[in-house]
This record gives sequence, C-alpha cells and structure tokens, in this order.
Amino acid sequence: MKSLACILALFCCIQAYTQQELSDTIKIKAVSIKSEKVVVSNSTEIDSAIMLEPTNQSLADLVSKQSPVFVKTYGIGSLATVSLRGSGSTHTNIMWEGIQLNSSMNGLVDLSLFPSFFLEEANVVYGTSSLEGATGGIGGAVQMNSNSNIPENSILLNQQLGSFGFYNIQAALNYKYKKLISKTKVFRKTANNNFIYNDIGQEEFPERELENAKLNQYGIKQDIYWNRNERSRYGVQFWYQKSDRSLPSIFTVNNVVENQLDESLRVLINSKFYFKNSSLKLASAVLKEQVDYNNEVAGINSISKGFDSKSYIEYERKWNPDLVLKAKSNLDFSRAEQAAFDGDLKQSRVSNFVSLNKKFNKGFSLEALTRNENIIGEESFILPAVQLSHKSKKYKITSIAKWGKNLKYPTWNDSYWIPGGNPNLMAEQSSTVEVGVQKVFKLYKRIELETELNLCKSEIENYILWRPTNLGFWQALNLKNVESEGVEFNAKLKSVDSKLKKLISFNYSYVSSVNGNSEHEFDQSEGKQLIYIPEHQYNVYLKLDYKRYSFSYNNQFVGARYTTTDNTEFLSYYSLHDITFSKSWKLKKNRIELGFSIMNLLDVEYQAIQWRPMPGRNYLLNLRYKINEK
Amino acid sequence: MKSKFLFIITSIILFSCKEIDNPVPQVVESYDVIVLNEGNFRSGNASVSLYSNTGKVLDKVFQSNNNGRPLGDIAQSMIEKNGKAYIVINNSNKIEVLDIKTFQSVGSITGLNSPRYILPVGGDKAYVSDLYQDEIHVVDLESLAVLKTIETKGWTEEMVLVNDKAFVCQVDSDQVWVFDVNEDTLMQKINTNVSPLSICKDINNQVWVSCSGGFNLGFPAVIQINSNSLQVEKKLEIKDENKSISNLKINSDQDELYYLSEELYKFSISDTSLPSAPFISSQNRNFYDFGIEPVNGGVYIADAIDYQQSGVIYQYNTIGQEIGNFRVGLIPGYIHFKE
Repeated sequence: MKSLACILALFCCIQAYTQQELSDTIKIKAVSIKSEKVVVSNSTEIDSAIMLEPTNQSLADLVSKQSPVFVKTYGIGSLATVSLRGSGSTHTNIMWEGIQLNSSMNGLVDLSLFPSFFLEEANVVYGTSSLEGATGGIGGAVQMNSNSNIPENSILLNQQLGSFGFYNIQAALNYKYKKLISKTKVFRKTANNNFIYNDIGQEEFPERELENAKLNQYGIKQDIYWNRNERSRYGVQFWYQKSDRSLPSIFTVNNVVENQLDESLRVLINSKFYFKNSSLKLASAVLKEQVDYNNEVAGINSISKGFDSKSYIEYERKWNPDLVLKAKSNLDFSRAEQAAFDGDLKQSRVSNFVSLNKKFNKGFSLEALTRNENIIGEESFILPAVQLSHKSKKYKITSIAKWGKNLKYPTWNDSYWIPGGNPNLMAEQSSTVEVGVQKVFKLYKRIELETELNLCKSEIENYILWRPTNLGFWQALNLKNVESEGVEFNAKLKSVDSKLKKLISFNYSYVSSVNGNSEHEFDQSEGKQLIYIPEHQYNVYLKLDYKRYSFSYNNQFVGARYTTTDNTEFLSYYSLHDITFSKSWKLKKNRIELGFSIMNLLDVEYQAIQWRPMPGRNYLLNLRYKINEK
Repeated sequence: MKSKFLFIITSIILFSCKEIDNPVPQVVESYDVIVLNEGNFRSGNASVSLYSNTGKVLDKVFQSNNNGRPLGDIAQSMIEKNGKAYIVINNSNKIEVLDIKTFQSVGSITGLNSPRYILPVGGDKAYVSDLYQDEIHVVDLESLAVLKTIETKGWTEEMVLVNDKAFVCQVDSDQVWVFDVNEDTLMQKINTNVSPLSICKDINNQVWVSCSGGFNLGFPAVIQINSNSLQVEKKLEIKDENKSISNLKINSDQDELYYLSEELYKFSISDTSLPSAPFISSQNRNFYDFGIEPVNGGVYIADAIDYQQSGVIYQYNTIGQEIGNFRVGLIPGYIHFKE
C-alpha cells in the first residue's frame, strides 16, 4: 500500500508540474477531426515469432509485412511513416505502453527508428478503437508493449552481416531474482547502403552506387519489474537511442548532402494493482527527443527539441461478468524548441475516457464510450463511439458494428512554424463506421484457420495541407474533406504437428480514399484517390519448422500509387519476396542458430517514392546464440 | 472453396497491377509557347509542355524525346538563344540545354549549386543566380562551362541587363546589386523593400523591381530605379504587410507593367500609384505565373490548382476577357513565348 501511495504521489507531482506550466501555455486553436468508420475487428496482433525474423529490422518492416497497413518508406533506413485505412501519416497514433509517441511538432513517428529487437508485443488497432489510447488516431494506432515475465535467466547474442556494409549486433540479458525481473537489451547497427542502381535520371541510365546513405544506430533498453505479489506489479523502463544517418538524394538531384541525427530518451514508470473486481493502472513517462537536420548545400542546420511528460491512470471494474466499466484519465504536457517558432512552445492537455460494456442475452453486447479532450486554455472536444457485437457460439462467428468520432488537433508546425504556420487552423475531424466478422474454421484435428473481414467507411473534414503562396513560402490550410472506405481481410492458418509446424498468414486491404471537394471547375481531384495511398495491398507469410530446420517466406505486394491528385500519374505496383533458411543446434541448455536470408529475391527494380532508388536482391547472414534456453 | 479463393487472389493481382508505359518520342512541329512545369520539390517530375496557336498541346516533351529520362527537379526558368533552350533546373543543380526544334538534349551546364535564373550578358557569357550559394555563376553558353563566380550575399533571384550593367535581386539582403558585366565586379548596392524577387526594364531603360514584403516583414512594393544614376526614382507600395507582390513583368512595348497579388494587376510606367482594382480577377483560381504575348499583348495565366495535378493555362485578350485554356503539366511556373 505504501508503494501505491508513492506511485500516486509521483503521479500527482507530475500533474502539479504540468499545472504549473499552464500559465505559460500558448493558446492554440483546436483542430478537431471528425472521422466516420465502422470497426469490425479491433486489432491485428503481430506474431512474436515473426518479430524474431532477421529480415524484420524495424517496426516499419513488421507492420508493412504482417498487417494490412501501408508504410511509406523513403529507402533503407530512411524515414518510414504509416498510413492506416487511407488516412495521412499524422493520423496514426504510435503508442508505447499506453503512452503516445507522436511528435508534438509534426505529428509523425519514424517507424524505421524502432528496432524490432526491442519489441515484445506489437499490434495494430483500427479506427475508433484507438480512442481508448488517445485521440488523433483517425486511421488507428500501432501499439508496442512489453511483457513483465521471463521463463528463465538467459542471454541472447545476435550478429547480422548483410549486403551493402550492413552489420548489426544485438544482445539481451534476462535476469530474475526472486520477485525482481530485469531485461536489458542493447544493439548497434551500421550500414553503408551503397547499393548499385540504374540511374534513370541520367543519359543512357548508367549504373551507379548510392551515395550518402550511411547509417549508424545504437540503443539500450532496460526494463525492471517487481512482481510484488499477485495483486501488484511495478515497472520501470528506460529507452535510449541514437541514430546518425545520411539522407540519399533522388535520381534527379546530384549534389545535396543531407544528414539527420535523431536522439531519444524515454523513461516510463508504471504500476498495476488488482482488486477483487477491479484493477488500477498508473503510468508516467518522460520523453525527450532531438532531431538535428543538416543540409550542406542549402546551409540549413535545423535543431528540433521536444520534451513531453505524459501520465495516465486507468481503472477497470467488473460488477458482474456482464457489465464492465473502463475509465482512463490522461494528463500530458509538451514543450518544444525550434528556431522556426517564435520562442518555446508549451501545451497541456487533459483527456478522460469512459467506456461501459454490457452483455445481453443471446450473445449480444453493447459498448458505449466517450473521450473528452481538453486542450488547456483552448478548446475541448467530446468524442463518442458505440459498438454492438454478437457472438454466435453455434457457428463460432463474431460480428461487430461500430461508430465513432475522432479528432486531430493541429501540430505545432501547422500552427506556429514561421513562415507558413497558421494559428487559425481548425481541427481535423473524423467520423467512422465499421462492421466486421471473425470466424475460426477447424480444418483438421490440428489445423485452425482464423479469418477476419472488416469493412470501414470514414469521412475526414478540415484536412490540413501545406500549400505554396504568392508570398514565397508554404502555408498550412484546412483544404480538403476526405472520404474513405475499405475492406480488410486477414487469415491465419496454424498447424501444430509433432514434426512439421506450419504457420501461414495472409493480409489484404483495399482502400478507396478520395478527395471530397474541388477548388474550382478545373480542379480534377474531386473523387480521386489520394496520392501515395495504394488501393490494393497484401502480404503473405509462411513459416515451416521441421526438427531443427526452419524456412520462412514473405511476399509483400503494394499496388499502384498515384503521384498526382488528378490520378493521371502513378508509380507501378511492386511485389517483393524474402526467404530465410535457418538451422539450430542444441548444446546442453544453449542453442546456436545460423540463418541466411535473401531479400528481394527476384531482384525487382521498383520505386516506393517517386525517383528514389531502392535496393535489389540482397543478403543477410544471421548468427544467434542463446545461453540457457528453456 | 479453393477455386474461389484463387479467383479472388487473381482478381486482386490483376486489378492492382498497373504499370507505367514507356514514353514514345513526340514529333515537335511548329509551336508558339513553351511552358515549364516546375513539378514538386524532390519529386523529380518537372516537365515541358508545348502549345501551338492551333490549339495543339504536347506534354512531357523532354522526357519522351530523351528516352524517358526525367527533366529533373524544379524547372525554374529558361532562355532561348542560338536555336537552343537553356532550362534552369533548380534542385537538380543544372541547366539542361536542348535543341529548340527537337527538344533533344545537347548537353548541360553542371557544377552549379541551386540555380534560379539565367541572364545573357554579352557574347556567349551569361550570369546564373542561385538560391543558396553566395555567388553568381558566370557560364559560357557554347562550351557549357562555368567560367568563374562573382561573390554575392545569400539568395539571388531575377536579373536584368541594362547598358552593360546587370541588376540582380538580392532577396536576403533587401537590395538590388548592380554588376559591371565587362569586369564582373560589383558597382553598387541599392536598398529596396523586403524580398526583391522580380525585375525588368522599361522602354526608357529604367529598371523596375518588385518586392514581396516577406512574411509580415514590410510593405510589398514596386520600385523604379534609374539605371544611370542607380538611384531609386519611385516607390509604389501596398500599405498592408499581409499582402504580397510577385512576378513583375513588362509587355513587349515596355510601357505597361503587370504583377501578381493573388490576382493580376496592370499599370503604366508613368503611374504614380499601384492600381486598386485587378486587371484580371482570380475567381478562386490559383494564379501562379503568367506571360504576356509579345505580338498581340494577350495574357496567359498559369494555374497550379492544388500543386499536385496537371495545371491549366488560361488565355485572356488585351482587355482581360478569357478566350481559352489548355492543360499542361504539374505546377506550370514559367511561360516562354517562342522568339
């Protein structure tokens, strides 16, 4: 109980600190997003076995290969942002242990900076379901969580050697002492990324080596948990990471030398308490991010510093198995420094979430929820959602229908960047309707096929875009209404055989995300697909384990993406195939695994972003040594 | 069940497998207007459109007539000289040189930083202004070599030549710098309003420069400079920091000036104030650049619409009535009438 008091005291301290900042808070006009989508299935879990695949280097690889999510990547190790259900990159929340990581300055998170080695659980949450975590996830959210248990004390060493000067070394130490658990993970990754490509920007398309694409990353993640008893658990997580990367140019630009340094420090403390019919969770995090961008040609040296303190308290109560209440209260304080702002910017937000879930007869259940978002000193918003579901035990089918609203407040860059920031921006607002069905087929004794089909429809109003002006700079404006609808289909086949284990997963999505208005009679963008949003994409994953041998295959298909709003120009589809073979040896309680992967097996020449070269066939050797494996 | 599944998968693949066709060379016959389409920054999708007075439009002429090679990133401006077009490709750091009849590349001037405009200053010599480098590049239009550089300060933009003097907009310095083109030396610095961007000369060899006013940093203005005394003769301001003036141009008789301030305005070189009413109202269109026909004085206005789709050129007669339009490429930003 003393510990609980300490945690509460700390939570209050952070609240008090943020309240103290309120008087300095700069007033910002709220940006409200109105989204309409129908949520059928709430999330796609990324299989933990897939996280260990050597070809999946980052969170960007995981979600693009294992979920129906589109990841827009600028190349190996370069910026990778996610788009869910046809929404923009800033419309997806990236959550770590319930804490939102999206930058207060630009709303983005670069998924290439999240090594999959650091992740233990990851899932993608769609549409309105993301409201439980935070507002702003009009498309949904990508969530990362840790596991507070370990089976045994163990050490993992992993070395990777790949094409284009790629070298990655990772180490993990899991240690358990009575009720105390420590997990330490470190990594260091370097790459030249100097692959050969056909330079179609030059006469006769000569072969050239990609220049200025070096990467140097390292990081440490330390988790400590104290599982005090069955009713209480405490945890502290520390995550430091630094990335130094050069940014390669497009085909048609020759002399630009750009470099970006990303440094982040995240510290989180949390605790969870279980009572007879309820549970209470408290979490507080401090996030510090710095991005130094340097462009020698333009003489730009831009430094952006962000500091956030985010806390939440979450309470869940069951009166009986048929009635569940969830309540969550968030308190966030953010501060940013950037020369393009007129002084430091500060903002405080209070957000409250309540949901009530009631089960009725014949398998029906109804959930009503609401989130109230209050930007201190500015606007406040109420975002309701309601979900009706039905579970048929006889046919093993679950059906869900959901409606909800969401909101995306303008980022500080949108509002205060000088020049071009627009303090008069309105909130982006979304309204979403979703329906879906889930069914499990028992094919044979040991084979199960899990399927899920979702349909969604949404509308985003006051979509924020930056446009050039006659004043010689770009300006943020509320310009568009976007209407999107889509289909998601996921299937996972699992077979547990004594000799041959099989896992096959398939994810497909269709998204129609179109501009809902035109500027005048010559504007041909109305009713046309948004740029860089593929209508079709799918991925297939196959894994076979036989004795000590393992084989995996991944196919990622991304359909054509328009590059103009009138849909007259587009980038061709691409389909990439990766394979991995591995063999392991058991040495008493230790295990050695040697793996070999071929990425882009068919040596496909493609562009993910217009005129940006991408690597052809490339190879990766993986050596993993695990001491004391259970 | 299996066949249905295969059918669905096959359908998905067929519907989503859009591929880009290889460009086919286009026969360039007679044409009257060259439109440079800037394209998006860092998207490498700049292009050239040709328009003939018969109404025929050719798009992406450079790419189709050069084996599919893209023109580059941000087609900023151009000149026509000795049967060649010199197209300044800003973010590709080069000037692409084309045969004006076939639009096939005959070479390029490289070794530039972030070129903006090109000004022939006598013989084969030309000055090239630059966005980032504190230098003007002096280039040879025949050998396509960079001969030397002249020191400046910050962003240099449009330039005009009057009696062996080059008047250069020094955007960051809020000045017009005057260079002796024989010696390639700085003669004088003339103070202007904030952000001088466009410049031209009139029938009396007077220099006119427009200043945008920057981002609420000062009043936008059109300033008249005496090219002999190098003194400011006249300053016509809009007393509103939230407004802007850009794209100052003069007609072929060199007695009427035009500029953009959301809409298109026109005034005489003898006027003592800027016009209060526009010559051509934008009517919610996004006027991005314009050109004045050298023969009949009609006006072509470029509309970039949302900057991410094919732009439009609107044609107006001498009294500002719309008489036609045609589609061009992405972000039409420079209109050149064939000499």
